[in-house]
Amino acid sequence: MLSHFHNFAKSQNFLIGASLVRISIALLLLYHYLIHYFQRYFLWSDSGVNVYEPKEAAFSLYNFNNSLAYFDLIYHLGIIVTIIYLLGYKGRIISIINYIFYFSLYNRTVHISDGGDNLLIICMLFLLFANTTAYFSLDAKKHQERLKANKTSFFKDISMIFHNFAVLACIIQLCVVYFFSGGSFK
Amino acid sequence: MLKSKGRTIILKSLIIFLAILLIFHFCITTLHSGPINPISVKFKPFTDKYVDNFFRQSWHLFAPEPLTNNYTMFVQVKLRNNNTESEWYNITDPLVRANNDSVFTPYNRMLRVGLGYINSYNLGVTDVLTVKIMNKSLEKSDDTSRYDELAEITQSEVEKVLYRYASSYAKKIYDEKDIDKIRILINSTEAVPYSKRNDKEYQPEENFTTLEWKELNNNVVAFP
Repeated sequence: MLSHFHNFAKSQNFLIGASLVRISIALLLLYHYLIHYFQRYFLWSDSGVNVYEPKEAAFSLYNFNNSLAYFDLIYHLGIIVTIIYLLGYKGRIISIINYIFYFSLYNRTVHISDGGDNLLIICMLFLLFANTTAYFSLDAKKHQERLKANKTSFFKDISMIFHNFAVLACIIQLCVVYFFSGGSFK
Repeated sequence: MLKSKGRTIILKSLIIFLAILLIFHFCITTLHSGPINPISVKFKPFTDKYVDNFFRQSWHLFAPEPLTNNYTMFVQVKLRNNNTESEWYNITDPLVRANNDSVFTPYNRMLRVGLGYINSYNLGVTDVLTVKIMNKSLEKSDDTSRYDELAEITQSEVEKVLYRYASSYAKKIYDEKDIDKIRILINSTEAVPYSKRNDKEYQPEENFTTLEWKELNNNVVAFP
């Protein structure tokens, strides 16, 4: 059984699914950024409804300056990074940058966010370790070329192990949500 | 050969390490977000610290105790000109209607931010879980001073934000220069219980809270 698990952890699993998740998340983030475009100052800026004390507030790129121009700069950069993430360019690096931008906005969503945002930000963190650009992306060609060459390497194995555990963590997290929200009554 | 064996050991160790980490992480998550029990209360300081920045989550909203009150927020403006008082403007209902008009709408979150703060103002704390824990501790002791102290601090903080919200709305209706003061009225109406859904005579309980006149907050943008 252990050797089965070992083989499973090293092999290429969930690559199409992870790529589809990347596209879904990117579309959701874009929707989130764009649908609130004209309400952005009110909802998230220092001139908005919430009060942010820089020393007490959770990490956010928006905390470094309270001017609306700086807020706009970070907000628009966030949109651009999300579009690159959607296109699937430079997989893990863009994933990390995209996570930092959205995490910054998420930490400013006092009384605005819901369970969906909560689940999204947790899964986005797990997916930083996953390969989400193997399919339907600008990086997909590289992945196909590597597949054709059929080369295995030590670092590729490590990468796949992290990928498989990351996807597994997302699946378990989803189970936790529905188990505790619906299944575990008093 | 030796190199290959060394790599296999590293890969196997990594798999074991990640498997243990995965189990550990979800044990903590389970303690943090599961139903309250003696174990989760005992480990709360550790689990709270662990989940604090990246894994904070609460799935208590769906069940078994959904919210039981509907809140409406009104704002009244005292104008500089002749010290006249405006009518009470209902902030909540137009947002509810705008939100219900379309699936794709920004008003969902606009509405949520106001109602979230009103809910915190009435609860006296910011989350439902803390209310539960406080109520459990009150069952064991009659000393309500800690609860009252926490409620007072939270209400004072939340009140500041409610006035920002109301100031923003007032700035949408009137020119900033014309506004002298504003005040807020919160209406809390009990939801009709399921067992009374067909009872046309049933009158849900209503409560009104009027907050005092305060200066307009100039540091907030006009309501979009």
